[in-house]
Amino acid sequence: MRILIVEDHAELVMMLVRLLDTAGYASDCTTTAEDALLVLSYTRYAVVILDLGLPDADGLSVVRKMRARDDRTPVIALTARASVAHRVTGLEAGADDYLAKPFAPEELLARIQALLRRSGTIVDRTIDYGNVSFDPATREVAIGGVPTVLSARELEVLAALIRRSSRVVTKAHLEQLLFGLADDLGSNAVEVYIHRLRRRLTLADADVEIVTVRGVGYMLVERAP
Amino acid sequence: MKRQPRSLMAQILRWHAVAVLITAIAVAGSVYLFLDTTAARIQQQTLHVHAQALRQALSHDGTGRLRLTQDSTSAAVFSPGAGFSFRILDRSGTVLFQSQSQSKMVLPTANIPLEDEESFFRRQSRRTFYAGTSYPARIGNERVWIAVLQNLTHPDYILDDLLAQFLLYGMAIVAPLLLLLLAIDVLIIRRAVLPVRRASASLEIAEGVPLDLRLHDERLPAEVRPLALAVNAMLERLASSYRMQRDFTADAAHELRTPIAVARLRVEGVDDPGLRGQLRSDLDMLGRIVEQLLEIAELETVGLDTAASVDLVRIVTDGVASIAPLAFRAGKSIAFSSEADKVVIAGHAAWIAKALGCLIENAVTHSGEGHEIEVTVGADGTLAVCDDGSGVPEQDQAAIFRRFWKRNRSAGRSSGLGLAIVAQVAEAHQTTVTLTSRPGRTRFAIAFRLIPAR
Repeated sequence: MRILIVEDHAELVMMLVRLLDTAGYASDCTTTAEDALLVLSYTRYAVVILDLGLPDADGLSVVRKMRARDDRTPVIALTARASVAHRVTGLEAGADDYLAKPFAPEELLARIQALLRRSGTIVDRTIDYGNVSFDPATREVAIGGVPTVLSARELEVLAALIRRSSRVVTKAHLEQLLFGLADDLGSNAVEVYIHRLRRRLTLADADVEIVTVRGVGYMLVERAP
Repeated sequence: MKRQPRSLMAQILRWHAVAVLITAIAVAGSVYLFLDTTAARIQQQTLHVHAQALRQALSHDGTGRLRLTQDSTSAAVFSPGAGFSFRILDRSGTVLFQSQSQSKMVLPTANIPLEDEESFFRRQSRRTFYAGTSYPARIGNERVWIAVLQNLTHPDYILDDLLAQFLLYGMAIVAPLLLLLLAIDVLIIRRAVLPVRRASASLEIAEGVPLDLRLHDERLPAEVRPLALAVNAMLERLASSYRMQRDFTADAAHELRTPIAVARLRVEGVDDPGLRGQLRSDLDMLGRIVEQLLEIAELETVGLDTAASVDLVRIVTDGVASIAPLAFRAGKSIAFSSEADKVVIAGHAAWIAKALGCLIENAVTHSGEGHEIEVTVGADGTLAVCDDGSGVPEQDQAAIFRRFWKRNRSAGRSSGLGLAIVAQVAEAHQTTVTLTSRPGRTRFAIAFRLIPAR
């Protein structure tokens, strides 16, 4: 799986190559927009990491030209100009994601993962969080390696939470998921299933827990040791 | 007490009114003086003619005694009930002859001057005014003084009334003319001052000082134009130095981002996990400062469009959701409640979210361990973030919204820019941040402009 880095800052390129290498990605680099477009025309890349401040052109023009010739390769725009206004134009130009410098390396890797998953380049076998693992294909859940049977709605809630682990899943989103399954649910359905799920996690000795963000939603986090 | 600056117009009009008043008085006075002098001369001529007529009527009779032979005209003039009377006196003031109307004349003889030349006089006796002449005459070798008096209060004497009438009518014509002149002047001055007013109005601004503010200097009078040009030149310099400083901030921040990004990646190669963790958090802090500097620069440059209708509940729900993990990692819990399902306000969603993020970050830093941060949205469009930390002392409450302000300068974990951003976002929304704080409860609130549901 190859990633193209378009960035003119030599040191940053070096660090990025090293980072991607340790994460298991091979990478190529170009330093100008012109080279980037040329390289992209004869090699397929899984993801393009594109600096917007290139010496010969605005990085966004690269995205526009790529999209114009129907190149759907996911693009993560890297920029030193991470203003609210720039962000909007960046996404409008066709970039799939937007990352401001400086960024945490794990953040970049997470974004790459997300883009690869979205574009169907990688299909996750399982999603692991703590000692809980969830297989989206078979919809099987294992806690501490022990397969656990959940009801369809419990599973739906857990799947949503584990996909966004340590981030908040809004209550509105969970409601939508549950009401999509059936519409004979009470107004406190989400609370009911969260409650059941919590009990299951505790009983199975999971090292993750569901935290309530009152008025907003829920978040799956690793239990403090 | 401070004196209000008086307007140019008011000052000119004031002095002009004074000038008109003085003119009116001067005109009236000089006309009166002129008429009075003329009237007095006519009067003296009349008296003189009468005195001369009496002189002609005086003669010595055969015995050498003085005799007065009045003709019919003279008799009519001095008839009782007429306005004129006469007395003929000798050197000692003894009355030799007097008119029949004399009975009504009460002017003492002593009041009549006896001089070598004819002299005119005015006298008052009781309530009656007299004008008179004392006319010396020589009959043979005898000197006599013929005094002719005119009773000015007598109905036949109309000169005074004429004078009064004339003055009255004169003023009736002159006064409106002067007022008309004043009114015309008001119009002229208004016209002349208009460009100055317009220039002043071009500086009148609702809030803040836009960088492109200039004095409107078209058609300004020559006296004011240099002033306007100087002011404009100054504004231009001010704007350009301000722009330079602002651009410098933005450029410096941009230039810092890539090196920090390199350093941040390089840190991953540090073997010592403790050092690595420290360097990471230092660089993250540095990155945060740079990011917020840029945000401030952007807030200052771009005029935010805060007119869009946005749902505050939605913005805050998403905002709290995205920052909750950070609060959780810091050992804090966070809760959101809204008085309504939907609160539509006029605002810029992304910047409101940023401000909310800064407020929550601030609450996370300053609240007590393990306590709850409360975010609320009121049905009136108020967004509030409350924490239960030690609070902000009264004397610091204004200062905390200043850039880089920190209670403890050496405390490293805050950029000191967050609340400045909050204040600026609020300002862009034509509102302010209200801070109420006591130990155990600190509340930052921003009241946005509600858009009523239709």
